[in-house]
Amino acid sequence: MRVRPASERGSVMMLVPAGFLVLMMLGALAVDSAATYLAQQQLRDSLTAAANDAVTAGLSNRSFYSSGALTLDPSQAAVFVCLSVSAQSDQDLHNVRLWMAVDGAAIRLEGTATVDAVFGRAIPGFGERVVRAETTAVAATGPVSAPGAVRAPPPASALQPIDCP
Amino acid sequence: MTMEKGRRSGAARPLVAFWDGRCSGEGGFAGGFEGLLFGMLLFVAGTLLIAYAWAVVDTKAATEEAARQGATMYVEAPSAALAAASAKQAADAALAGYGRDPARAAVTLAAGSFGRCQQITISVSYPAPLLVLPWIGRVGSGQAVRADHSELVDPYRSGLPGTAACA
Repeated sequence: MRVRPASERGSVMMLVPAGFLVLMMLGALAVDSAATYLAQQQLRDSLTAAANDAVTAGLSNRSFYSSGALTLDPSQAAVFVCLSVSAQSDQDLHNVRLWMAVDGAAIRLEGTATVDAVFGRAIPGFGERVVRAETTAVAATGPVSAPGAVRAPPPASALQPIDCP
Repeated sequence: MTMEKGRRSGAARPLVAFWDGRCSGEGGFAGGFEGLLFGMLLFVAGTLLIAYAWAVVDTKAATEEAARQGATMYVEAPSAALAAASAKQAADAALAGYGRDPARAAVTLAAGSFGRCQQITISVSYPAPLLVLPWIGRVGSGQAVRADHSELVDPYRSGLPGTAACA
């Protein structure tokens, strides 16, 4: 025998906090995504500064004065990459890992870091996100403001991990 | 009438006898007005919290860009006398580009000095607004958001004394 209620009237008032809770969760997701995007920008800026520093301070004087060629010393470049990244003091980025490839006067940097979520840390499994960025810099003599002044291609060699102290 | 008879006689009551197949008169009010109040409270508090978090993230983006522009202009300045002014001007312009008032920002040289191979750090601090309202704008001042950016003065640049030996 099928049971049919006489009336389907009821209260939907409990749906109000539930609906607002969903709205809040969507807002929290937007804030967390923006924070992650900001962290990725920070990592990219850090890598860009490090590549610019390494591409000048890491030049091999011996190569320049012997042959006149601009050549990066990989070990020296790695030291300045580490110095530059540590000087950025990006407290939002954790577990920063760096890879570097040097080819002639060009350097390519790639990095990953972990960033804490603002609201997502309250949910197990959503507390951290990994961001990744890469950049390339090329040493050149003379003004580089003219279009096409830097024509050196990015390094084709394989990325090597850097162990910063 | 059958039930009443059963009680008097002490006989076992058949449960099915209570169910007549209808649910008349069982309408209720599961959630009272406190549900609405709780929802509004959750909405207002949550909106304020998320808006403030968004304002902090937005301010952080502005200060990061200002610090980066300031550090770049500092290391590319033609002289030490102009370096600090160039950094301040670039940072202020970046903040103005993000719709911020440069007068409320603090742009400082946190580390280093203007010299060949010097690692300098420009720090920009700006108070995050407590609330951002439509048509009204930013209201109140919350926590100061700080961003740093560090760059190396080009060891091979002209106009500076010393040798290009950074190591």
